[in-house]
Amino acid sequence: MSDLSHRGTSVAGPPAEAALDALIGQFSERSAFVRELVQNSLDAGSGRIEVVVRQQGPELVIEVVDDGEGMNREIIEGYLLTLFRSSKEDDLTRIGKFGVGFVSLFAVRPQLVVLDTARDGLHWRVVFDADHTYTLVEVDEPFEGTAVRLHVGLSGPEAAALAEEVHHAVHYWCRYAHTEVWTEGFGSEHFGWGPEQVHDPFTTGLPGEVLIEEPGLRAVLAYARSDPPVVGYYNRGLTLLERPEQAVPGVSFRVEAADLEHTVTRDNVRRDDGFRRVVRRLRRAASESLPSAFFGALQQSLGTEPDQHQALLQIAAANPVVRIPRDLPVLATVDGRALAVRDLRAGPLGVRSRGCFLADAPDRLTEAIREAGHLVFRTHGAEVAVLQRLGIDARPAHEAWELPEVVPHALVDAIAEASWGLPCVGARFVGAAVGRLAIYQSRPSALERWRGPPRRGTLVIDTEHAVCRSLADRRQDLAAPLLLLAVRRSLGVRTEPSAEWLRALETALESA
Amino acid sequence: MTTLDAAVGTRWCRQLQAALRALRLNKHFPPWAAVAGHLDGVAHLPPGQPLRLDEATLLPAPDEWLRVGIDRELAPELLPRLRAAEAAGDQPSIDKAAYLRALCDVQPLPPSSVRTSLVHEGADRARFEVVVDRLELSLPRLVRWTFRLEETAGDRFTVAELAARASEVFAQRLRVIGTQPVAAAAALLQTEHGLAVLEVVRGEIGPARAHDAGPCLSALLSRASPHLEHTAVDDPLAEQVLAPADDSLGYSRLRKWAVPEAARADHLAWLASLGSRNLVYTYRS
Repeated sequence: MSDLSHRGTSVAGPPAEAALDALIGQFSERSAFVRELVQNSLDAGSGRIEVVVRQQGPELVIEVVDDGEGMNREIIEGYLLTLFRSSKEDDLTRIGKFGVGFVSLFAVRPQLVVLDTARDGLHWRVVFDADHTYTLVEVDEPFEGTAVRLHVGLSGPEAAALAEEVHHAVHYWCRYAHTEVWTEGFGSEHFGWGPEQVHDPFTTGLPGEVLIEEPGLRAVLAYARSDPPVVGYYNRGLTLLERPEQAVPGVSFRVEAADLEHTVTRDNVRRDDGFRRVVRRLRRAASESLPSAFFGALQQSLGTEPDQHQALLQIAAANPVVRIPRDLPVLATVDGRALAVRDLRAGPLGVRSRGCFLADAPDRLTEAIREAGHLVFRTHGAEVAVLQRLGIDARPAHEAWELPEVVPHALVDAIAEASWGLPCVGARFVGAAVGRLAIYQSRPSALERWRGPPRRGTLVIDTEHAVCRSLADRRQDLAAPLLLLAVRRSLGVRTEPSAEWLRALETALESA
Repeated sequence: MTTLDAAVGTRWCRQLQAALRALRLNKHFPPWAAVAGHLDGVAHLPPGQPLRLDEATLLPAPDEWLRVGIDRELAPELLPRLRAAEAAGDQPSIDKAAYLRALCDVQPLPPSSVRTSLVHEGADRARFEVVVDRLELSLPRLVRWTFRLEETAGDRFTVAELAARASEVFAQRLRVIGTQPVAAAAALLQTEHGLAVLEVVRGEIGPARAHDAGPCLSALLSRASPHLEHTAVDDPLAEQVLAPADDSLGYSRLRKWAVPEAARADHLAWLASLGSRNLVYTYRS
């Protein structure tokens, strides 16, 4: 080190020491310094920033290293060490403005802070003591960029708690940063991570979003799933604020803009003219660009990306600002047809009168219902939510309809051929009749609405029913009348059986 | 022209990519990730062709940089034509198609770009930053110029006007001053009507030196500014460093290196023999 050392009394100067303590106490989180240091590194044009936390004996060392353009003596003494004076306050290309960010690192009460910085071939070290006094010296050993090291007198679980706060803070504040940010934690059995790159794609994570890119502003907007929508404000990728907020009704967004700035306490965005300009731009994008992006995605995903389509429809159903165009075919029926909202109400009857039905998957019953001119949507599909929003009731198809498929069956044929006064057929049941041994139908095998037993007509016996199957391998002359007995009981028939049926049963029992 | 056979050439490019990453290049240099991306395309050599290196810089020769952009642009047209021969098992066609497909994933560097932004707008004047990236194929060299400019009293520009001037006037000027040191460039630009130069910074990637373990890649940062109060020069590759003609300009010219780990000791000894204290980073070769 050279003998150019300079001893300073305090970063604030004696009269402002109390104000400095108050300011340090105002930062919303003690790990807010991570953002401030990364912000300084970004403003210095760094290509790569590293945030390293390591346990070094009794000290937790937190280090932020960059390869930016560094600081010269003028910047160090004139701005870094002068509270409320920033070299960047009139520079629109930089994030930091107030000249208070650097002091945030004293919120973790470091015993020592060492700042190494180099610019244009000169290398400087500033050492801050716990009482905020500092020493500035010129360093002979060449290096580049800026490194800030905080030595905090913590170990064990307390150190781990701070280390994890820093780890979380790096991800929260820096995950959209415009440069490479890496982090690593090591040297302790109580914590450890990485090295890992801190980076997330700049997206709302919602389907059908729209990207706006123009000088000074980049934003992604999407119709929200939640109310109020979650929004995020950023400056050059650094997080300023993320929270649920109705800045643009019904719309979630992430926006980064040079016009957006933190409040001094770093827990909000300044609601100034710049902020209002940004919000106005977002509202314009929400009304002009977002609908076409959203409904374009909704239409495009139909039949090609089912999960995406369902996610979009869920939002369309839940978000009151979304108005599905009446003629846009985006509702998929259970058999894959695309319908528009207009189709639901079309025709002299309309779906309100005819009813609308739900099924887990297409089958013979849903096909028959469709052929009968009704609509069937998937039970768990987002279409149901859209129907509810439109005030259209939908009932499960398998509870509302019955559709037996007539099949030959020896026992049933025997009943039919006997002179017992009962026209009947065997069938496999689909729909509301499933689980019942027998039903009446006016036309066997026809699709009919389920109106509950018993009725008159042809007796349709479920050949797959347990009773029917248990009798199938018994002697037919005995099994047929027993089956009929079971059918009568299942239908709740209380009248006496016919004389022919009784004779048949007696005959069978005698020969058994 | 030096040539390296395909396997060695590809390895050379990969080592240059690793060196680029190790060099810790900040905003005053061409974007290293984009350069590394372009090098990815250079590393994919056309079937049967060696890698040609520029003898002076040991970087891929100009044709190699150009080929990436041209072949990538032609790939969508050429690939369908190769499909039938590929299906028939024609090996040259299979190799050619594989080469073109590999290029499709590459994002080539534009030959040049100019970006202008407003730094500060005051009551009587404004400050601007103009960033110019140039792929100097004749050298070959990758250069980023950063100009901090201020309107002189009486002349007002909008960002759009300045951007247009930057695109037209600076681009023309830079063809002249592109080979000049930053101090000369600043002096030349000072004469530009209506603008005062606050700072000129030039970040340059290359040249490289050869070592058995791999390329030792350098990067040079030069800055000239009236706010820079001293001159700092440490460039072992500079045959002659011209002091700024204008006394009001401070000047710095510092080179740094990324070398294979195995080459570090040799490289430091070479630098010491020249009296240089250049920063040396290492990469795994």
